[in-house]
Amino acid sequence: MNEPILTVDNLRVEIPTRRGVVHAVRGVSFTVNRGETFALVGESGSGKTMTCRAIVGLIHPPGKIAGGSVVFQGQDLVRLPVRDLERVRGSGVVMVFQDPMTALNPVLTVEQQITETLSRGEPPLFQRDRAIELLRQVGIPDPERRLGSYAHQLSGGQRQRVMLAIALARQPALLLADEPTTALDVTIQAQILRLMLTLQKEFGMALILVTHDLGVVYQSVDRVAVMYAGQIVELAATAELFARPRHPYTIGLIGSVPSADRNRLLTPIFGMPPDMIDFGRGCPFAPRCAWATEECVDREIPLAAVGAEHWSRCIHVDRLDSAPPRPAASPGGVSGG
Amino acid sequence: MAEPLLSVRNLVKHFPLPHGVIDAILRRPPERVRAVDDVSFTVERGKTLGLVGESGCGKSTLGRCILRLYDADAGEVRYDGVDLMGLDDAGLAPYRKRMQVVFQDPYSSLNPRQSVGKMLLEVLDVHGIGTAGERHRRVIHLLTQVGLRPTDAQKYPGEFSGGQRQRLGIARALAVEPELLIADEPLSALDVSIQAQILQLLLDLRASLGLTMIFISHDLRVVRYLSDDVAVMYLGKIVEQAPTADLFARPQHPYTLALLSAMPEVGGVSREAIAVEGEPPSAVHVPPGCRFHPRCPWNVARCVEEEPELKELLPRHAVACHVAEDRLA
Amino acid sequence: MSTLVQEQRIVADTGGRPRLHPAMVIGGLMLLVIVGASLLAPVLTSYDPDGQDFDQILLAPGARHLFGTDNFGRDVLTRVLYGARIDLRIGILAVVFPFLFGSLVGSAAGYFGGWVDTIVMRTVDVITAVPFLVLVIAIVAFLGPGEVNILLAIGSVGWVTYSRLVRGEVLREKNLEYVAAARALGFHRWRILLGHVLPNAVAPAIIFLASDVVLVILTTASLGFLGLGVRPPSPEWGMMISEGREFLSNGWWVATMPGFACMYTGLMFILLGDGIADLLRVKGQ
Repeated sequence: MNEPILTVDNLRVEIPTRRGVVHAVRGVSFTVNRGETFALVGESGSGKTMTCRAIVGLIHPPGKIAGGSVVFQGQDLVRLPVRDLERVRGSGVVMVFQDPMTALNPVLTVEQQITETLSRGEPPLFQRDRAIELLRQVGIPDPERRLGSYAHQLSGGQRQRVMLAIALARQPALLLADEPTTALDVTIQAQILRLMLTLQKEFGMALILVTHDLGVVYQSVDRVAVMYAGQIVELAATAELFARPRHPYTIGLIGSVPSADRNRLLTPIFGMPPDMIDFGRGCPFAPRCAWATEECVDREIPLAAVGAEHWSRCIHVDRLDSAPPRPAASPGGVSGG
Repeated sequence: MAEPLLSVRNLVKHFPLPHGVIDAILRRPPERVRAVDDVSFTVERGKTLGLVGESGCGKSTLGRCILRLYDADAGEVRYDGVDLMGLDDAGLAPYRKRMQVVFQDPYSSLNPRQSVGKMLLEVLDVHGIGTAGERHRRVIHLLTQVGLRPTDAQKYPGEFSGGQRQRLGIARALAVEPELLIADEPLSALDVSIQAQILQLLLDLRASLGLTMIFISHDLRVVRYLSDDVAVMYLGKIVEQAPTADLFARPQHPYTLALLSAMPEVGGVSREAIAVEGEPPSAVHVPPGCRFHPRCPWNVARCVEEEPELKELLPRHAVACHVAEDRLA
Repeated sequence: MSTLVQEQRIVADTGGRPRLHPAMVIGGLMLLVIVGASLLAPVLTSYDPDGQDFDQILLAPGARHLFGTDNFGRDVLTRVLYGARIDLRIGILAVVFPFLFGSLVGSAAGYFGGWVDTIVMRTVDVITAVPFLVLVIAIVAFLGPGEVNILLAIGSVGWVTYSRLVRGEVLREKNLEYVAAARALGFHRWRILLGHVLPNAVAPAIIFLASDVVLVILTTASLGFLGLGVRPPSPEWGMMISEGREFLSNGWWVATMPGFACMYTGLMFILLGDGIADLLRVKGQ
C-alpha cells in the first residue's frame, strides 16, 4: 500500500504581476501513495490550486514553475517535453475542476467529449459502448439518451459526473480534484464525494483532494497537508492531525468550524492572509499567531518531524497544548479580516 | 405571552415566466416559479431563527418578501402586530428602520463609487438620525463596532477584503439601529477562517444589541451554532421546524435527515447516511403530493396523492411528512 | 476624545489626489493649444478668413502662408483656426445635450421598466431604424442649413446611443445587492437611481462621448459636402474639405490641412476619453 506514485519535491511556482512576483507555491514537498486519498487543505491564497495545476502542467504564462520536481511513475513531469506530458495527462494523471458550469465544452455533446479522451487509447468501435459504461459508472441515469446531451441540458451535479467520466475514461492512476463540490448543493456534494471515493476504490486510483472543508477531510481522507501562504505548514495522517494538531494555523482552522458540541466556542483566527508578493521574513502566519515569538520571524522555518509520519512548520510545537501566551485579539478587533 | 416580533402567515410568492404570443397560440398555460408556497412561522423578540435549505428552496425570496423588497402575492407579514403587506412606501418607512438586512455577496453589496464614510453618513441622513454634528461620531462608532478603523471611512469598498466588506455591510445595517436583522447567507462567499470571524462578530453584536435575527443559510453547522429555532425549507415550503437542539437530536423529516448526513463533521458521530438520489426538481413543475417524494427513500402511496401539512407532531416540533406522522402517532 | 472637526475630517475626507494619466495630460494640452489658437486667431494671423485675393490663389505652403492659400486666395491657416471655433462648438454642443438627455432617459427606462421603458425603447428603435446620416440629412433639409439646425438635427437623433448604453448598464446594476440594500434602507427611488445607480452606469456613455465628438464633426463635414452644412463662406472644416476636393492635384493643401485639423481633433478627443475613463475609476476598481 505504501508505494509512492507521486513525489513532489520543493515545488515553487511564481507568477509575475504588475506589482511584483507572486510566490504562489514556495517549496512544497509531499508524496502520494498508490490508492491513497490525500487532501490539500487551505484557504484562498494558500497555493493549493496552484500546486495541483503545477502537477498537471497547467500553469499558464506568465506564471511558471520556478523550481522543484514532480515525479510521477518515475518521470519528472516538470522536465518533460509537452508532447510527452500530454500523453501522461489523461491516462496517468487527470484533473477535475471546481466549476462544473464551465468545465464542459458547451458545443460538444457528452459522447463527443468522452470519446475525444478515449480516442487516443481505444479502438473506435468500442468507444460508444465505453462511453455508456462510464456514464453508468458515474451514476447518470439513462446513459444512452444522455450521450447526445449538451452541457447546458445537464444540472450541476450531472455535469460534475460527466467530468468524472471523462477523467476516468482511461483509468488514470492519479486523480486531482480541485474543490470539486464547492459549487454544488449540499446533498449533491455528498453524492459526488461518495461517488469519487467509490470509483477510487474500484479503479485503485490515488486521489488528491483540494478542499477547505475540514469535515470532508475528517471523514474521507487518509493523509492531509495543510497549506498556508504557499507552504505546507503541517502534514500528517488524518486521525493524527485532528487528534494532535501541531501547528497554530491548523488549530485555528479546526477552531473556526462550528462543532456539534454547542458548548464549544468558536475560536476564530484574527487578521488576514499575507500579501503573496511581499511576505516578510520567517513564518508567514506569525502576525496572526497567538504563540508567536521573536524567533518566529527571525529565520525561515523548515518542515520538521514532530511525530511518527507527522510534520509541522512550527518551532513552538511543545507549547501548543497549553493556552496561548497572548490572547488572540478579538476577531472583531482592529485589522480584522 | 408576548406577541412575537415577526409573524409570517401563508406567504406566497410566485414569479411568472415569460409567456409570449407563440405560447398563447399553442395554448401553453402560463408557468410560474413557485418560489415561496404557503409559508408560516413566527420569530420571538430576541430569538434567532435559522432558515435552512439548498439553492432554489425559496429561503432568500422569503427573506426579501419579509423586507418588502419583493411584494408577496398572498399572505401576511406582521411586524410587531402590524401587517406590512398593506402598507405603502410612506407607511413602510418607519419599519425600514426596525428591520435590516445583510447580504451574501461582499463584492456587490456595496456601492463601489461611494466611500465608506459617505455611505454611512447617507444612511444617517436619510433617516434623520442624530444631528449633523453627531453623525460623524456615530460613523466612527459604527466602524469600530464592527472591528474596523475610523480611518477606513475614507476608503472605497474596492480597497477592502471580502471579510471586511461584510463588516461594512453589517455596519450599514446597524446604522439605523434595527430590532430585526435578516442575514441572507452572509458567510457563504468567505473563506473558512474569515467566516468564523464574521460569525463571532454577529454573535457579539446580537448579544450587545439585543437583536432578533433570521439567519438564512445552507450550512446546517453554522445555523446550529447560532440559532434558537430552525426551519428547514424544500422547494418553497417549510418541511420541518423545531428548536435547534431538538431538530438536531431528533430530526423527523427525511430531507432533514439527508441534509444532516450530507454534512461531514469533524469529530462528529457518523450519521446513518440517508442517501438522497437525484436532483431537486424545478420549482416550476412541482411534484404532486409531497414535493420531496421523488427523491425520498420512504416514499409511500399517500405521498404522491396528498401533500402533507406542517403539523406539530412533537412539542414545538412541526413536520410535514405522512410517514413521520404515522410513526409518531 | 476627538473634536468635532477632527471627526469630520476623519470621516469625510477621502483624500482625492487625482492621478494624472498621460493621455489626459497630452489630450488636455492639445485641447489648450487648439482652443487657445482658435480664440487668439485674430492675434495669430493678420489675414481675414473671408478675404479673397485673386493674386494669391492656390499658393503652396510657404513663409507668408503657412498652410498655403485656396482657390479664392484666402489663407488656409487662418480659415482652419477660425473654423476650429465652429467645429469645436458644434462638436461639443451636439454631444453634451444628447449625452445628458439620453443618459437620463435611458437610466429611467432601465430602472423603472414597465411603460417608461417601453415608450423610450420603442422611440429609440424607430430612430435607430433609419440610418443616422440619412435622418440627420432629412431633418436639416427640412429645417434648412445653418449651425443651429445642424445642432438640432444631430441632437434629436444622437441621444439614442447614450440611452441604450446607459439603459444596459442600469439593467445590470439594479440587480446588484447594494441597490437592494438601499431599498431596504428606505431610500427613495430617485435617490437610488440618480445617486447610486447612474454614477455606476454612466461610464461607457462618457467614454463614448469622446469619440462621438469626432463623429459629429465628420457628420457636419458630410452635411457641408452635400450643401446642407454651415453656410459658406464659413470656414467650417468639412466645407473646406469638400470645396478643396477639386484641387487635390494642384492644391492638395486646401483640403488636406483641414483634414489634418480633423485628425488632430479626433486624436485629442480620444486621448481625453482615455483620460476621463481613468479618472472615473474609483479606488479599488
